[in-house]
Amino acid sequence: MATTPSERFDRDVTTTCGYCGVGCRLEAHAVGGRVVSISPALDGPANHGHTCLKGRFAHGFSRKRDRLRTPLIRDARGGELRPATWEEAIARIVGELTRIRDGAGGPDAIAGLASSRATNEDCYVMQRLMRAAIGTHNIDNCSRVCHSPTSWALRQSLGLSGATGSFDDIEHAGAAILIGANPTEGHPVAGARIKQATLRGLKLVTIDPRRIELADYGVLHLSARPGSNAAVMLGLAHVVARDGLVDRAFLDARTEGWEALEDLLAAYTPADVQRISAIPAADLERAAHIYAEAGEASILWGLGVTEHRYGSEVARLICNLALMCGKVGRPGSALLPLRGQNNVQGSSDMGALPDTFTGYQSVLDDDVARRFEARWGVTMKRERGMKIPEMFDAAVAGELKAMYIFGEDVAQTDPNTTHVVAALEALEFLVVQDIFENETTRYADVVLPASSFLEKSGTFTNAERRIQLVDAAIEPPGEARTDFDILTTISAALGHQMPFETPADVMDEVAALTPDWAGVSHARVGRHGLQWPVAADGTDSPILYGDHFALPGGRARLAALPYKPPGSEVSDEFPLVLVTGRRLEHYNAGTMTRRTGNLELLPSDWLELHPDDAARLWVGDGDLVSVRSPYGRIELAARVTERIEPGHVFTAFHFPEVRTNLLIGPSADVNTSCPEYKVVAVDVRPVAERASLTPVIAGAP
Amino acid sequence: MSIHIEIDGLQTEVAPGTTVLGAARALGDFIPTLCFDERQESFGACRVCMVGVDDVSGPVAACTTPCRDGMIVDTRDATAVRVAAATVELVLSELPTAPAPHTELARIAAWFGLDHDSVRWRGEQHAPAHDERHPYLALHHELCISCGRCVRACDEIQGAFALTATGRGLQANIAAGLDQGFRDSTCVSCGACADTCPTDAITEISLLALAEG
Amino acid sequence: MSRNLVEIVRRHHAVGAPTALEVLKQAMEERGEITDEDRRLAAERSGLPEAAVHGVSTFYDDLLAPRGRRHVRVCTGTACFAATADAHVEALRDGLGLALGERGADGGVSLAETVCLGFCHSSPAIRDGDVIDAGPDVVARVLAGAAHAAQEPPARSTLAGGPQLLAPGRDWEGLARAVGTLTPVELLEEVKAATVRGRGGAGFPAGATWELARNAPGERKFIVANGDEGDPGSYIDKLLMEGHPNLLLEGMALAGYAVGADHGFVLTRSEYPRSKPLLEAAIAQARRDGVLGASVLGADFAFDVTVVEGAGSYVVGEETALLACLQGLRGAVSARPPFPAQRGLHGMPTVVNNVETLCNIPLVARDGAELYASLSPDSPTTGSKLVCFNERFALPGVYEVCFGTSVRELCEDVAGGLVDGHAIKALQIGGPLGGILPASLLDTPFDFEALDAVGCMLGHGGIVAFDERTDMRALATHLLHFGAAESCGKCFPCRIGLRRAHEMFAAGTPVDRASLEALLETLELGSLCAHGSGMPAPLRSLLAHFPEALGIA
Repeated sequence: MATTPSERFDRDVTTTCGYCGVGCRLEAHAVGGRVVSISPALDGPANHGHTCLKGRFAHGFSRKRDRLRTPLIRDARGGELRPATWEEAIARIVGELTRIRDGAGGPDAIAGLASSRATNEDCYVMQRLMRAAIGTHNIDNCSRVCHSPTSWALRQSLGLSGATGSFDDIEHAGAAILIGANPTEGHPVAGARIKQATLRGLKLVTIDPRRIELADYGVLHLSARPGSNAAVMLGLAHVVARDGLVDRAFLDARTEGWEALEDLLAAYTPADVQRISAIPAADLERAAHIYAEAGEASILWGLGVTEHRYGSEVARLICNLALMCGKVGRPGSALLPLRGQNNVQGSSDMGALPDTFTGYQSVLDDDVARRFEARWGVTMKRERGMKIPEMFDAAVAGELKAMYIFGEDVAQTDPNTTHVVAALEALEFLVVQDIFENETTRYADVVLPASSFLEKSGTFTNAERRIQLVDAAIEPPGEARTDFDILTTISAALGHQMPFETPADVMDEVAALTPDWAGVSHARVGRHGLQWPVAADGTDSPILYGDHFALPGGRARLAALPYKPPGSEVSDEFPLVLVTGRRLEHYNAGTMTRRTGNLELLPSDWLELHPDDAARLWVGDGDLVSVRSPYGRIELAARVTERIEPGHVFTAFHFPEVRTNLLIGPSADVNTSCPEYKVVAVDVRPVAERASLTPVIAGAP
Repeated sequence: MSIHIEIDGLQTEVAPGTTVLGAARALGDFIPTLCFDERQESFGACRVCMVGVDDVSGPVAACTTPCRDGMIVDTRDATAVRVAAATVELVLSELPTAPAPHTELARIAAWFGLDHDSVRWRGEQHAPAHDERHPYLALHHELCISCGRCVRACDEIQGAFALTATGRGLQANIAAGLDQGFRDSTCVSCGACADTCPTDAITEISLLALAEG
Repeated sequence: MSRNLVEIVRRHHAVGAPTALEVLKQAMEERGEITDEDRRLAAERSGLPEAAVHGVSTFYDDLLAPRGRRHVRVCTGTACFAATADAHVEALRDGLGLALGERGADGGVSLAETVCLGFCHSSPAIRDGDVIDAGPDVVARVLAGAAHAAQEPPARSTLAGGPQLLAPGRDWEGLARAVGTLTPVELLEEVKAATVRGRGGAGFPAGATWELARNAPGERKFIVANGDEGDPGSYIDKLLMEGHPNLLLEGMALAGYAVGADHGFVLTRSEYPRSKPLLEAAIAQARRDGVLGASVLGADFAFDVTVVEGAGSYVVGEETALLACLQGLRGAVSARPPFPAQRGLHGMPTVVNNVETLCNIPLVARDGAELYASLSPDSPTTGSKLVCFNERFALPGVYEVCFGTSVRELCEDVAGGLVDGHAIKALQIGGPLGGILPASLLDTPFDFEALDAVGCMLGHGGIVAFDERTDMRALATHLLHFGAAESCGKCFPCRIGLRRAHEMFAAGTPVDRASLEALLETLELGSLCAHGSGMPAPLRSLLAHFPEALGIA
């Protein structure tokens, strides 16, 4: 640290970043109730004294003029939102939710969404509110639309829903495969660590339809056709098996299912995989050898793996490869999914899912359910609730009548926007709890002013399963309240009083009800966090599966899953494949980052396309283009670049004026319903200049 | 294999490759530095971490001197402290104004009892040149003391390679990209440079505003 | 030196990319100035980040002064100062109507300073385009557009047994003996036994460096010949590289054989424009003759050599700065460890030896350590030494001499005393980092330890005489101007301290002794490399021997 904060600032707190899943520990410095500067904590276990422009600089949103500062109520559909008192807003919510809960549809006519942006404690309280105060398992969170396939696959293959190691494994690995992720933009601090490692000898293989920045630092880049990840992973496994690179001792001692997988792999020769993925067979072979022959090697992946029709299966195939090579459970040999949002891990860990309580304990498990019922003093059904896409379907069908959406702008970020909007419009009652008005609040009956990560306390769990403390640097603005306060108040108003004074009390209850979190408390989390599972004595688990997997018999399960084509395929009408992703300067819907200087750094989005396609379509760099899919149409500027392959186009989804997700259809992961954001067949053409929009200058000829 | 050394009368064991500075810090011993940042490789430029070693004739830089078995280090060696203090005095002499009180340079100068108004050597100073075109980052060239921390932060931590040392001798300074500002360089706005700068030559626009009230 | 940038350079070098410095130098040659477009091109071609290229382009003298169609460079080295007290610089400046570093408005003529052209035997020297002219009337000739290439005296030996180092007709004998009859370790042991001390200044035994590099782990190893003979007043390496290139190449190949390196690099100075082409011609011939290449003299030993030319920086003579320059980076010094023998060029173990040091190796390899040790019978130092004398002497040139000969004998007997009856007021031996030897100490033996004992150093072996007319305060100012201008800017004492020291003398007012002494101590004890720690040495000598002339208060 170059400065002594205490001399200049009123308040300095150490907290955890509220942007991506890396989980940087930050020092926030406030003067006069405003955050004026944020610096990285030197001892941050994930960030090692570093952070990115989002964590460090994009804090100005917290005091933006348009922050929600009072509750808003819409008196009638089609009317305007008007400021209201908390009493009025809560009365309206309690009245409507009680009416619907006690009506014909019962509690299951109500659904709630927790937020992967919120703290563990907020998410826990939200799911308890839905389950205990309302009486439904209709609770889900936005990890549904990003990493639910990863979570599912890790549980199926290895037992626990989390990375097997830590970011530190990057520095201990001799080789790594990075697939479907662009960390230097999406997870900048992890990206920086990977880049440094490649310059110090890490042999990095990148697999992505785009030539991402890290490809320039790696030893090999495989440009896979979108939707072909399964074939690529099967091909890599084929080469490992064919060339005698399998760790037989590991397979025999610690896995099951090898015979079936071995049979399946025979069909995925490098030549076959080249036909599917367009990756040269020799490159595929080289990649397999680089990974398998390294003493320690890790695999990292992102939403380019999960947000596909068979994303969850690809995640299992990734596990296969690591298991075949025995590269799990040691420093440097890890499976590291790069989780998107700051608390995408924790929101699911906390049971904000329709089928599990905390720690992925099934709602169908009677012993588990009884424990929760006893603690909460309620009775619950032994059947799972609705996932997010099911909620929207049910709303359109008239079965779901109310939603309580907390910290998620579904009308911008969820796929098939037209369908989502129809669902929101069909609801009888919609509560949105957020920090700004957004696309979703346009359909809300009540909007509650909530708090950002700079204004609340609790914990986030990062992509390493590391539970880290969040501490408030400033107060929520105006009459805005912390989410903990809002949710416990509403729960009480609904007749279910939760016994919590502070978020720390919530964590104590989580620990009491969750074996994998038995030893977690705010005091123990301290400055350096704890990686779950945490034993009752506080011992945590930086590396999982050192000697056994968390599955019956301690054996990992290999999955014999074949390649299947993606849900969206090119046609004469839609000849290009659109891949969507992220930009360094912005975060998701851009709600926060677009309200900071980051907007000046990146004021608009663009469509990346290859020079060949650009030439064919008569599109020049900077030209306005129209992008049309079977589900919608958007317009944005083109950027011609060789970083993308011919036949593919790319854009992000940070800007409401572009609304990329209008293009995304209903196709989703077969096991988890995670939308297929990453493959959409589209048609791109230039938007001709329209005379009516050309300014007319008086007196000009 | 560990190495046994003595620092200011305290005995300690360190791993091979540990520097004298690392060993001293592990003992809680303060050695002043200007170009050192624990997140970066030792650079050896500022010569402020000078210490005495029993069997070496002159002082050595603690940050780049590896511990040797049996070494006896005196961090308060009179010659070492004199040389380090004179070096900080030289640094003050190149700045047109005294460093802001919260900066690392100000604290190090105070530690040596030095004052910008009473340096022994005076001469050419850096001419003020401000670049505040970035939404978050300000670069004030006249405050640069060429410690290289920003350049190394950009290189060794972020890997953006957007900063460079420029010129040589007293004209040495730093630049972003081709000296057209952060935004037109490969800067990714991570701010690691501002975070490590010991003089506020690179700082945050928001903090400049704070300083001006 | 940034490990990451070195790795980036290594990766691009492996696929044949030029260094950023090479691209920038070419742009300067072609267009006389460097634009951002050139920097972007250099970044693209070299793979070095744009910012790093910018840093390089602001470091080297050759890339800074804009060039006209006719580019005139005036030598401001110490020998030229000793000859004219800088009168030639003023005359040229006035005659051309240009300041140093200025290009005429029409772009026709430009004038720049250069240190030094290695024509110290005929000072002053001026480089007009590609022609280096020297001598008393050089300014008139240049102003008349009639510059012609100055002559260079051949090397002579004063050894009793005739020339050893430069014995004619014995090229490649040592290499043939080594690859034919010695294992690499046996050669290494021979070199260690001969105690070949480095001729570049520090006097460190070459065998020890070789052994360190031989034992260091690395995918590849390299031999680097330090041809950056930047000491004003020295032109020994120039003579070796340009007049005896095979000797250097043979020495490098021998080093490669002993260490396990398959490639060597020579860094030459841009102030010596003939060095690179002459060495490259010799390399081409050596490849044709089978003494360099995939199989040296038919043996299972590959060795080849690449020549890289610098771009104007004195400090690049320091080994870590030299490696930075070779890789096209800023020629700034790096702290050691790691030593180049552990982590050098492209991050690989690298032997960096001075040109003359490497030129001593063939002698050891062909005649053995015993003969080598016998060359200087009156000295603990083995081998012989090349020395050179400036224009003030009656018989300037390069001579092979025995260590241990008295400085007086060298000056009076070998070099014939000063011209025109002038008297030696003082000598500077071994470059600007060496002390000033007053006439009263001429009986000091010419050897490492003996010179050290009187506050001087052997250095490169260049001997510059100042005659009785020399203004010692002007000399101090001259040396400090050079020191401050050439500071790489890395370590604080040197970066700021040399400028402050120069300012103290250039101001024309009395110099406060206490603050000068404190400054000199800070430089001596605080600096990172020999540039900052060595520059006080001549000041100390002047303070000791000519205090009244310095204007000390």
